[in-house]
This record gives sequence, C-alpha cells and structure tokens, in this order.
Amino acid sequence: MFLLGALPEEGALELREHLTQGCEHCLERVKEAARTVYLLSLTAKPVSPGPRAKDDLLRRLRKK
Amino acid sequence: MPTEANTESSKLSGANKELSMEEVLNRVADHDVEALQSLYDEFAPKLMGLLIRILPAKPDAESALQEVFLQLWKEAPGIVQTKGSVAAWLVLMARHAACQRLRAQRAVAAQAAQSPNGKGRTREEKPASKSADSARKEHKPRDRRSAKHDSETLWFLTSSPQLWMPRPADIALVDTRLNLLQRAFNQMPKQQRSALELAVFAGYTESEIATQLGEPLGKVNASLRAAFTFLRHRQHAVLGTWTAEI
Repeated sequence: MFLLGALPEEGALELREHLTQGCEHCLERVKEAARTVYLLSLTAKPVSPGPRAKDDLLRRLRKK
Repeated sequence: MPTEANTESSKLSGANKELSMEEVLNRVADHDVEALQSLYDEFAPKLMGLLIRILPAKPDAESALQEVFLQLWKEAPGIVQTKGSVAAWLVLMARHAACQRLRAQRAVAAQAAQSPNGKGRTREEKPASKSADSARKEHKPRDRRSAKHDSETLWFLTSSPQLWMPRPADIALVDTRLNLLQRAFNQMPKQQRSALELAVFAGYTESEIATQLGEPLGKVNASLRAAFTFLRHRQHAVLGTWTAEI
C-alpha cells in the first residue's frame, strides 16, 4: 500500500522512516509490491500515442 | 495461434534486445536525443496503454507520457548505475505520473464541489473537466495529503531502484509469459481484484477505496492484502526464479 500511495499519510511517513532505517523484512514486502504493480501494469492493452506527442517531446529535449 | 499478449511480448523484448536496451540507456544517460527516441519508439505504446487506462483523456495521457520520458532523461544515469531495467522503471514511473495527475484532478473537482462558486456551473465549465496539467497547477495546500503520498512513491522509485528492479533477463521472461500472467490475474476473487484495481489504476487510498466500494476500511485493507498474497503465489508459479526471491 505504501508504494501505491494508498496508506494514510501518517502511516506512510512512519513506514518511510522505518524503511530508511533498513528493516529487511519490510523492504522485501515493498519490493514484492513493486513487482506486483509492475506486472499488473503490463496487463493494459498497448495504444499508439499521437505523432505530435513524440514531436513535442523531442522539441523539449533539444531545448534542454 | 499466438495471443495478443504473446505477439506484443515477442515484439517488445527478448533477452538480447534488452541487453541492447542497456546500451541505449547508457547513451540516454549521456544525453543522446536519438537514443531516447529509440526508447520512446519501443515503449511508448505499452506505456500509453497503461496511461490511457488511468487517464482516459488522451491529451492527459500523452502529456504524462512526455513527463515520464523527461524524467528518464534526468534519471538515466542513476538507472545505469544501479543496473536497473529501463523497462520496469518506465512502467512504474508512468503509473506514478498518471496517478499523480488523477489525484490532482480529483482534488480540484472536490474543491469545486465544496465551493459556492462551483455550484450552478455547466458541465463544461466545471474544473473536473480541466486537463490534468491545469489541475496540477491549481493544486492547493489542502491537497497536501495526496501530494505527500506522491512524494513517498517517487522517493522509493527514484532513490532505491536496486531494491526492486528486476534484471533485464527477468523482464524478458515476464514478456514471454504475459498471457499466463493475465490469466492468473483474471482468476483473482472479484472483491480483491476490484480493490486492487482502484489502488493500482485509480490511485485511491484505502479509505477512498472503502468509500468507492461501500465497504468497511478493515475489509478493504484485508482484500488488498489478500490480493497481493494471491498474486505473489501466482507470480511464483508463472515466473519462477524472479519471484522466488520474494
């Protein structure tokens, strides 16, 4: 839930502090969640973006 | 006959192709625009599919897509350093960017609903119909809770990729077994799947999911935990070694 941003704010901050302190067990749980979210995200059907989206992106990159 | 998922996965990446992706990522880290263009051509349809699922308005999804690749432009050296998979990074960052926009849109809509000025507007004039970009610009302090959640997610994605990033070979394995994975997801009990989809594809918090589903918070919390447990077992069965470490 932490990774999804689905925890209440107080709980999320507590867990972040806990992870920063290096709890291996909880790090494993978050790692597991990251993999699951990644895999779930892959189930969406691909859609082609419009050509202008790419043109705009490249224009913005070349300005940087 | 290959399924759609099979066709897509074989097109996207085999192990060798992913290795060459690493070389491309090195070039992106050196700020090579053509290299980034290559990654865009390779991954944009898959990312756009995810973004459209979260942000149904195509202009919003395309704007989020740009944001993801601009972020990659900044973060590529870190991904190279941690030997992370650019494919996994892009997918998770796209989900994060889209949910961030969706939360901002909902916050603006909620403010409008509470504001006396929001009453009596036509549907077209309501802030909820604004683009995600304008909604984010109007993100007010009262929406700080959502913004904090976003920062938690981004903190994890950007500062600790070595904690969760699958290796390129693992990504190739996922792609070859995507149809099996889809089947496993479809087997999930409906209640768990509904809660998980609201969390993953709509960016809702546990309490918001409880409101959406009309269920007690404790039940939603239990459903989400059960959903992750269900998927962990199925992933292990489908993908073997990658999830065996979990």
